[in-house]
Amino acid sequence: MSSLKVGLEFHQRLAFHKLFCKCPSTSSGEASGRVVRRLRASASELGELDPAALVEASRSRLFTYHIDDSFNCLVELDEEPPHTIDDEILDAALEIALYFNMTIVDEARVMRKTVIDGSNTSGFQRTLLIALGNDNSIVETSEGPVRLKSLCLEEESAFIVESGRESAEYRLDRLGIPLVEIATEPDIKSPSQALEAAEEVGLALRMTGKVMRGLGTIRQDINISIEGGARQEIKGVQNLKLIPEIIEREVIRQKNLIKLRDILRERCSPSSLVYSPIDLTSVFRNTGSRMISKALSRGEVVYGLKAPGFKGLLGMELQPGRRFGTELADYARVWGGLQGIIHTDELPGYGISEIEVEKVCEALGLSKDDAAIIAIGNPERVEASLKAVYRRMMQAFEGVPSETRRALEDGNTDYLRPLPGSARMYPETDIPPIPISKERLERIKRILPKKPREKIREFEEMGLSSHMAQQLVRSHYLTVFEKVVKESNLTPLALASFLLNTLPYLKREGGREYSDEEIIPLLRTFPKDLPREMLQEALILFADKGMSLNEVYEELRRRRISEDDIRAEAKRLIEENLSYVKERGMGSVKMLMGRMMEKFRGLADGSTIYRILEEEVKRRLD
Amino acid sequence: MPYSEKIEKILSEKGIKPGDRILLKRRDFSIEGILLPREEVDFGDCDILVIKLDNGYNVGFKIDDGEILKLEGSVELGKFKTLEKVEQDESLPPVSIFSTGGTISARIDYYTGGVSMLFTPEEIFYNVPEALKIAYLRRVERLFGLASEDMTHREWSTMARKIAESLSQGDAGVLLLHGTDTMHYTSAALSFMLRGLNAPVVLVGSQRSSDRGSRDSDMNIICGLHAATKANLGEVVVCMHAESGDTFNYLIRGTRVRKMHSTRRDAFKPINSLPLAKVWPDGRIEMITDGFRPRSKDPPNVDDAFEPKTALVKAYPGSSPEIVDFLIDKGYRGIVIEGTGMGHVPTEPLDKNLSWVRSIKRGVEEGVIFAMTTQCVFGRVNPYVYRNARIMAKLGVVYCEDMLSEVAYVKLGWLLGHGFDNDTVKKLMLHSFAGEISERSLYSTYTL
Repeated sequence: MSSLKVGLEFHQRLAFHKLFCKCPSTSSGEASGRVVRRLRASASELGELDPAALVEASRSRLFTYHIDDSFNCLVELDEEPPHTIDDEILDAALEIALYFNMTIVDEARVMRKTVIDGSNTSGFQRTLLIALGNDNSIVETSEGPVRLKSLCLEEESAFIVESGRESAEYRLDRLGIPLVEIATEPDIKSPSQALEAAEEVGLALRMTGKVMRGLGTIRQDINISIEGGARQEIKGVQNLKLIPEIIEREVIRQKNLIKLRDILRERCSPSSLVYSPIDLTSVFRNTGSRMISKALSRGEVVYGLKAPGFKGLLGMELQPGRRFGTELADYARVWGGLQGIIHTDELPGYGISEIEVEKVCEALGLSKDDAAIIAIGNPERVEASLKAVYRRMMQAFEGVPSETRRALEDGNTDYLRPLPGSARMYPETDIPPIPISKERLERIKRILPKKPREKIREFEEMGLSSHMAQQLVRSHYLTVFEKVVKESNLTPLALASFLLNTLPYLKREGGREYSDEEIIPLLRTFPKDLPREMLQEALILFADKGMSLNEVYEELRRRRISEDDIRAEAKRLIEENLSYVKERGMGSVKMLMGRMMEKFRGLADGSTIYRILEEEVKRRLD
Repeated sequence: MPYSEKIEKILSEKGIKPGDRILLKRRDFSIEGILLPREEVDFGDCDILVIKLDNGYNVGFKIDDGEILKLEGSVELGKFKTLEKVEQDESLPPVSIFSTGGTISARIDYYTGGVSMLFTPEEIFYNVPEALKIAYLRRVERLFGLASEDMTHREWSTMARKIAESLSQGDAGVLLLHGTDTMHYTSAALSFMLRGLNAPVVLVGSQRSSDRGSRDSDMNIICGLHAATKANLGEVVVCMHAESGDTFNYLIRGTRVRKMHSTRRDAFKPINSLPLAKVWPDGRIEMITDGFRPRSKDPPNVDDAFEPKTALVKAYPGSSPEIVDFLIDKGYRGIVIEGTGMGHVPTEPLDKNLSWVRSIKRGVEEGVIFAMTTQCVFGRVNPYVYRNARIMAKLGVVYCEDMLSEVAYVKLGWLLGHGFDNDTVKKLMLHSFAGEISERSLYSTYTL
């Protein structure tokens, strides 16, 4: 189990309107309408149904889409064919691919990737592969290079509002936002290397200035395979820092599943596990378990499935807080739509009495090493759930099944669906192929953004400290800085300090995150004659109080403190602390400065206050 | 396979054909995959090889400075899996299904994206397993594989005969799978050609291709089968989505229906009338009006005469009557004019050459029948309100009340096919054979 292989997949939204229509990528406002749809399983390439698609089909759920003219049109509703892709969006994706030295295809072809969980109204996601990896397209990490495999441009899925057993609701504001999917080869060998690679790719993406920023605009999938274990696809990691934890916990999970297999094999053979559920409803006719009596009053049933040799193993912890029983419950939920199952390793419990447990054991004919799964619900669901649980238990004899799993917030994962088959992709016939000329690539290459290292050097030359330069390159305000630095009256240092210190400070102090549209005009026009300390107040007046920039500057000019006022206050302070001033000489300026700032913070430029204070102390001492 | 000659030559030299697994080796990289053909009508660059990679993506690469090699592992393209025969419940109401083409009968080749008009009974069971519980599909037949705009009166005639044949064999109803673009022309034609229906003839189509999970065809077929087996209707109806959502379908009279949206699922709307019924996928049918014709006792007679020298012409600002002269010269016998407003054509333009009066007068004198409808789609024409309409009516143009232009076109061709004298044709144009004209314009039927 030592050789770990990890590949990452990045999904980064691009900062443009939607990929296949002109709807804006920013969502606003309430949905005004609802459209209800069902999706049906499609015959796929060879007339076979995809296993992942079958899961959804077998659930036959009802999907409600929240719609509004402000964020979707008929394209997202699957009521109009896709429009062609705008050149500027494709150019942005090409730029990212070229930035990573990837090989661009000569002709891109839009594909349909079957997805019938409702997150795409059409039943597929549109995607086009535009670049492949080569020997030069690598991400450097301190633990070695990680090769890039492919870059695709694709449409974002719909935002899930609510997901129930028989229905799900989605908002169509997110559906169709352009995103690039970048996949690496499984070159990553450790959790820490995975984090480093992810940070490097994220940094590079931001360098292009073509990506959206903010929560949820980038997410990672992790492909993990472990020798002796099996390959897993872990979906939807939003927090980069969780990557190492998820990988570590997956290694633990697989190790434990192998341990479980070995114990199981010692106890019995797979042939002893048979699918023959027993009706236990009568056992619980007068049960004290509220959960069960409630279910029975709804006309539901209780069934048990014997799990020979599984005693103690169902309660075995695979990941912190997740047991093998939890994995089985995942299968019952996904395939049968049951909220959960009960197993004998956790009994007595749930209000089920010892006598009832005994009766269950007796009814199922359990002996020393045996356990049982109990499912409660309507008969169809119970059957579908127990069948799925049975299949998963059979796999336990083999070891680790390959699965698509979902990242949870604590670093654990749960079961989502089987790994997709290869039959999930076929051509999008509504969009003609897109030839990509050498001239187009040459044009983009000429304006490629600088590499992070060059950028840091450039910022240092502007007068930023090396720490600040590095911070800025990694900040999502990088593009803001670059957009304003040439036109602003503020020095690069003042700008960087505002973006890196003031903005996070405002947010920490109970404020909010400000958008580029709020920040950029302010930084571009902030006048020379106002002290930069007033920037913070200016932003609040402009963005939160709804004043125009001109009104803001006039207001601040009224509030600004003149040098005469500062000098008068300095003189007053010196007289008040005369003995201290005399005793410490010029050394007293520091303490006095603190007092001055208490009074004038945000109203006057710090360096001006300091200069005046120094002058006055000197004059008084002379 | 429209690769360029240059590429064709290289491929044939290497003995490579689409479907073969190939290796493309270029100086800086190499890729492997299945070579695909290029599209028949190609918007791309025919020097570029289309390759399906193992991850499922199709990509295009030029050979450039590289070379291609044939590898093991070719696949057969354009081959559809034969589906196994399905056991049917013969105690259910018998139904015939005829496929005529269109999106609903089209199947995609998942490798190339090419579309074929393929259709077998098994495909219905395979895609719409619910069908097995609704009806006994006694007869499932592919009549043609035509896009709906390629249909002519000949196909209408074939459909009418096949349907009558099936209904005389005891079917509870007939389902007709049709392209949507001209479905309302066919539904009108069948409404006239099938006299005395003893069962519903239900037209269904698909606004979304069948490869996608969101296809509307399955629900349209399911609702269509419910209607065909259960509805007490002796009419030709269109059964398509009532809303954008997959909620319920409308049954709309074949002479009152029109495709009103190029892409939406609920494109088919009743014009100047209400839908006849609502149908839910679970089998519920709710009649909306009682003005429908119930099933007759005996199977229908086929009356499928048609005069192909019939035309539909639109008047618009600046439109020249030369088009009318051309049709007269070409021996056309009937012309439906889709006039503006209540049925107007230019009669006194400043440029006298653009007046339609002389041409229509000439046509009438030469025995051509003119019928007037409105391009407003909704509403009724009236020959007495404005002068230019009065001129037309005086010349003998038949004002078609609230009949749809498309229906008037089909009806005129059908009537002319019978060899009646002109006065009879003109009189019959205003007789409602299949609910195509109503005497009252109801407030609630303007549904936009």
